[in-house]
This record gives sequence, structure tokens and C-alpha cells, in this order.
Amino acid sequence: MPAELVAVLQSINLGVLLLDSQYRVAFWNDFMAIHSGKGCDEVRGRSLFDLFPELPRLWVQKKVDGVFALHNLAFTSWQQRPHLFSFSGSRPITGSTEMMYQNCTFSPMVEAAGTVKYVCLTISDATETAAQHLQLEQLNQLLRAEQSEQTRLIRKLEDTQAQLLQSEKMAAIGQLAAGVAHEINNPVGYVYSNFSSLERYVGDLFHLIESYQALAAEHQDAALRAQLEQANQALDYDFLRSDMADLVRESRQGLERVKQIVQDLRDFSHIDSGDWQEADLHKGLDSTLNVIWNEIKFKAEVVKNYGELQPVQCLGSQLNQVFMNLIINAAHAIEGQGTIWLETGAQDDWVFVRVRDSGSGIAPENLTRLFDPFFTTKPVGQGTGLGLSVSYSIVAKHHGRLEVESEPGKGAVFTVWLPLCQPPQGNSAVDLPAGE
Amino acid sequence: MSSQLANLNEEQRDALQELMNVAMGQGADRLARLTETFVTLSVPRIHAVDVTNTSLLNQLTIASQPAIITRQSFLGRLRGEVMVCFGVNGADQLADLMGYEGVEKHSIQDELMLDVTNILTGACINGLAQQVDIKVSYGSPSLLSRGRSLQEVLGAEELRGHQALVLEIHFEVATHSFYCDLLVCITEDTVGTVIEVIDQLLSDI
Amino acid sequence: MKILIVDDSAMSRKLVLKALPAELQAVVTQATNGEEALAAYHAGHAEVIFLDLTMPVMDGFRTLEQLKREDANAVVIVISADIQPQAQQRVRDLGAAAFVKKPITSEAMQAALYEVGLI
Repeated sequence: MPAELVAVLQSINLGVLLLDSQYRVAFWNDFMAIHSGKGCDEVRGRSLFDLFPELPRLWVQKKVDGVFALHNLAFTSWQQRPHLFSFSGSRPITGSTEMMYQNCTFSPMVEAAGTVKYVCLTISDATETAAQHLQLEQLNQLLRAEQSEQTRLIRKLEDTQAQLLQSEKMAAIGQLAAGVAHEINNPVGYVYSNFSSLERYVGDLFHLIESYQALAAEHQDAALRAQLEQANQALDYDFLRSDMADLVRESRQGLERVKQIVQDLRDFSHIDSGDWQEADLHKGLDSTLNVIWNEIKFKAEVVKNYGELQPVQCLGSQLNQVFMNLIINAAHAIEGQGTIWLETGAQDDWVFVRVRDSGSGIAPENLTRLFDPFFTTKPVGQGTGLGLSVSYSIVAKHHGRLEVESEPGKGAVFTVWLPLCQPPQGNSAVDLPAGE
Repeated sequence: MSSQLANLNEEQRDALQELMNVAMGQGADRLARLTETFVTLSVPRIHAVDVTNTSLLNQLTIASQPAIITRQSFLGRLRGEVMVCFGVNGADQLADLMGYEGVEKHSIQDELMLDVTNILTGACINGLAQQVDIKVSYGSPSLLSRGRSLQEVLGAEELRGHQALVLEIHFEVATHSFYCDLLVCITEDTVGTVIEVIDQLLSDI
Repeated sequence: MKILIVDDSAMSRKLVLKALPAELQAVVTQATNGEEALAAYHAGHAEVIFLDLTMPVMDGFRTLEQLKREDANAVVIVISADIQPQAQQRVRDLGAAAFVKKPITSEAMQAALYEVGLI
């Protein structure tokens, strides 16, 4: 080899070595000598694999064979194979890597006759590029982690906001309801109390008329009797009499209904009232069942699955109202005959009461509106649509959670979660049990 | 659109096809000897278009499914890039043939694909270069895209306006159930070199 | 001598034609695929067939199979770009008398014709 060419090979900052078809080193340059610690003369004729036992033998052989056979270039990149030769890192003080990152090229040395005598292997130090690249990758990863954390927080914020909106909605409606109830209460009160008197007076009046009729019947004067009879006919007295009874009854029912609505509205909008006590929820459930037994006994079999419950700090009568509402809803949801399951249990500092029915289930589009005041799927005139929203606000007042799961055709499950103890006055934040 | 590319006549196309067939035959032969298997390199179609031309993209018989796509440049008086489309398993089936172990590792999978890309590019281009008597050098292969189809990748903005002679090549090693497709793109400015040689050949007959 | 050249590439057929030595005094028919080739053979135009392997409609391998089935008395010389050892072996097994690499030169043609005893 001409001296100048050799000089070039020795001076360039690339590892250059020549391999024959038996993988023996025919030549290598200063770069190789420096990094391997072995001079060119020392290694001439020796097998590459003796000199570098760390090389993956089969793989390197295939790579070199390929070049001999195909007369092609072959490459390795630091990204897939960072260190082909185990040379020490090229930044001994300021670098963070132990070994040199390498890009290698295998090229065929084609002779005049067209045959390949040697494969030339060049090794280029890619440590700088690799280090920067890796650093960028690390930064990217950190960024990505932060981003996903942010996404998580944003989602949490969105959830909280939705909850806030819901409670604000409830509060607003509550105020409205309270106002309306208040306004209606008095007039309804008058009508109701006047009604009793009215009822009585009407009864008395009929009594009086009957007395007159009885007296007239005994009277001798036929003309008088006939006149009375005519008067009766003219006003259709018989019809009047019977219809009066219906009217009274229906009006009374109507008034009862209005009173109930007003009462529900007041309960619903009640902010602070009642005494907080330690209560056994099972007793509450059982007594509620007793009260409403007539309503549900023909529709459903009740299965109780009571767990171990400690006493819960609560407003007992209000919770009973919730249970009543849920159980009655369950009964109404069942077409024909079915089953209602009552399940209770505890988890950490929480208890749950679960009402499950075998009814027709709730459509997905209704699930979100379930607790809205006046929302009902029942026909007009049946129910006020206030039951669930009242229940919701009662449970919220207890710092609990009212949840529903349902699929059309597969019944519904309402779960009331309640903390064993209420937080001290003024502290409204309570952590919900995990998973809920 | 280049006049040269657009106006390849029937004869020239036919000649180019033959040229490529012979080149592929040589390439396949070399590969077969290296891997001791039977190899099929076939040239279905030749297109002369803008690389991002939508009608080209629709004409390609090459997979429009998501694939792993690698690329490698060839440079010199014959210039361009070869793109190789692998299926989702990359070139794993050829691991043994190529002396690779531990193909479960991502980096080994990638290296194997790049190796196969390099060999295929060399096989296809060397044969062509030899017949048109041009010396060619190569860049190192790299990953172009993962998970997108070739049509998506070619449709990308950066490639718009590149005119090229595009050759579809289908590569198969039936014994190992391995298939992949190549797109050889020869730049407009160096296609002329090829056409000159073809014209020479045609006039000789 | 009745010669049939089968190849889907016009240029390739021309190259074969060009490589034929003049002294053969050949009468040449051309076909673009195996189907046309068989038709030409049945019509009596083929004593010697130069056959490409990769063709549409019916490729060289199937053509060879068919000729073998019919116990054809034509001499088949395969001319192909697919020169892998396995391809060559298969072609000979199917009854080809000789195999020539593309692109064909007049020297290679001479050698092949010599091998099959036509010159």
C-alpha cells in the first residue's frame, strides 16, 4: 500500500480494519490499535474472534459473508446495536456512558478481476450523537409523564366541576322549591281546614233537607208534596246528593295530594334540621319495610342480605325516607311479580345499603337525569318525581353518595354509601372509599 | 411532470422491464446462495410519476395495510431511495437465516429489518447499476415509519413534488413464509441515465 | 429448422432472435405466453423452443409440465433471468434440455445449441 494511503488511514478518526474470508485481520489502523491496545503487527493474521471474544460470532460471520457474497455494503447503527466493539467511552470525565457508541460499515474490497478479497470494516464513534439523543429521549419521557399527570388532573377537575354543578342545581331548585312550598302552604292550609268545615256543613244541609222531606212526607197536603217533588226533580236532587259525595271525596284526595307534594318539597329543600343520632340502619330498614309492606307485598319478595353494621351517625327519619323511596321505586319498576334484594355491608369507615330489583331496568339516557327534581318515567298523576331528588339531597346532607347501576331488562341497583361518622362542623370534605 | 418520464414509449417500457427482470434474477440468485433458500424477486409494475401522485397510490398493489417501512438511499449517477414494506412481524422469520438470536427484543427486530433492507436494496440496485454500467454508493438504512400504511406515508406533505421512476418489487422466501414489498424510486434527474442505456440497447437489436 | 421463441417481452424475443446463428436457417415463430406456445407447437411450428419462465397467463414451468405430459418431441432451451440453482434444477427435471442466463449472448447461444446437439 502506498505510504500516503497508509498515512491517511492512520490519521483519520475512524477505525479501519480489513478481514479476509476466514475472518482474520489483514490490517488495521492506529484508531483500532489505540482503542484495543494491540498494534497492527501483533494482530495480523489472527482471527477477529480471538482478538474480540465479546463479538457475537455467528452474527458477525453472517454479516461478513453477506458482503463477500453480495458485494454489498452492510451497516450497523448505534441505535440498534450500541457497542459492537467494547471500546471505552470517549468522554472519560464528562461523559455518563462507559462504552463507546459505534456506527459500523462493512464494505467489499473488489479486485480488478471482480472478486472480493477483503471486507473492510470501518468503525465510527457516535458517542456524542448518542448521548445527546438519549438525553432528549429522557426529557421527552419526563414531559410525557407530566403531560399524562396533567391530563389526569384535568379529568379530576372536570369531574369535580360536574359534581359542583349538580349540587348547585340541586341547591337552586331547593331554594325555588322552598319558596313555592312556602307560598302554597298557607292557602292550601286554609282550603284544607275550610274543607273539613265545608264537608260538615254540606252533610248538615243534607240532613236538614232530609228532615224537611220526612216532615213533608207526613204532611197531608198533597199539593205541597207535589210541589216539593217537582222542586226535587227540577234540581235533580238525587243526582246532586250522590255526586256531592264523589265531589267531596275527590276534592279531599286532591288536597291530600297537594299537601303531600308540599311536604315533600319542604323535605327536599330542608337544609339544617333534626337531631343527629347513632342509629342501627337495620332497624330503620325493617321498620320502613313494615310501613310500606302493603304497597309491595303483592309485587315482590324481599330478600335480606344484612352484613355487620356498626351504628351510623345520621338523621334516622330522613334516612328512612330514602329507604322507603328506593324500595317503593323498586316495587314499581317490577312488572308483575319479582324480587327485591336488600343488602348491607361495611368497608373501612363506610357502610352501604343496597336496594336491587328484578324490574325492567333504566335506560341509559335516563340514568343521568334520575336525580333531577320532577324527573319521572311514570305516567302523569302517579308520583311526584321528587322522591329520588329528595333522597339524593338527604344522602348528600349525610356526606354520603347515592349511586345507581342499571341496564334495560336487567333491573336496577341503588347503593347508598354513608360514613360512620360525620365530619366536625364546618368541614365538608370527606374522602370517598376507593373504587367508588 | 418530466417529459422524459411521461413519454416512455411502449418499447422503452418493455426494455426497462426486461432490464429489471434480469437485475432481479441476479439479485435473487445471490440472495439464494447466501441464505441457501429459494427466493423470488418479481417486478410487477413500473410507474413514472410524482411519488405522491394519488393515482399511483391507488395503483400500487403493495399493501395498504399498516406496515413497518424502512428506507435506504442509493447515490451517484443513479440516485434515489428504496422503501421496504414489512408486515407487522417485520423480518422475524428470517432471523435464523441471517444469524440473529433474541428476536423478541425490539432493537434486534429493528436491526434485522434494516439488515434485510440493506441486502434487498443492494440486490435490486446492484443488478440495475451493473447493466447500465454505473457505479452506485449507498447510505445506511433507517426506519421510516411504523404502524402507518405505505399510502399514508407517501401521502405526507414532505414528499410532494418529488418526481421519480417508481418500480414495485415483490420479494418472497416461501420456505420461511416471508414476504415484503419494495418501492424503488429513481429520481427524475438520473432516470435519463437509464433511458440512455435502454435506447442504446434498443438500437443495437 | 422450425424455431419457437416464447417470452412476454418483445425486446427479449428480439435478443434471442439476434443471437441465433445464421447457419441454422431457422423459420421463427414467436409467442408471448405458454398458451400461445402450446398452440404453436400443436400447429407444428416448433422443433426447438426457446422458453422464458416468468410470463403471464401460463408461465414457463407450467408450459414445460404440459409439454412433458404430452411427451412432446421438441427440444426446449430455457432462457431466464431467474437463475437460482433450484430454478435450474427444477427446469431440467421438467425436461428442459438446456438453461441459458439472460441476457443472452451469441456465445451462450452457441454453447447451448452445442449442448443439445443442434450444431
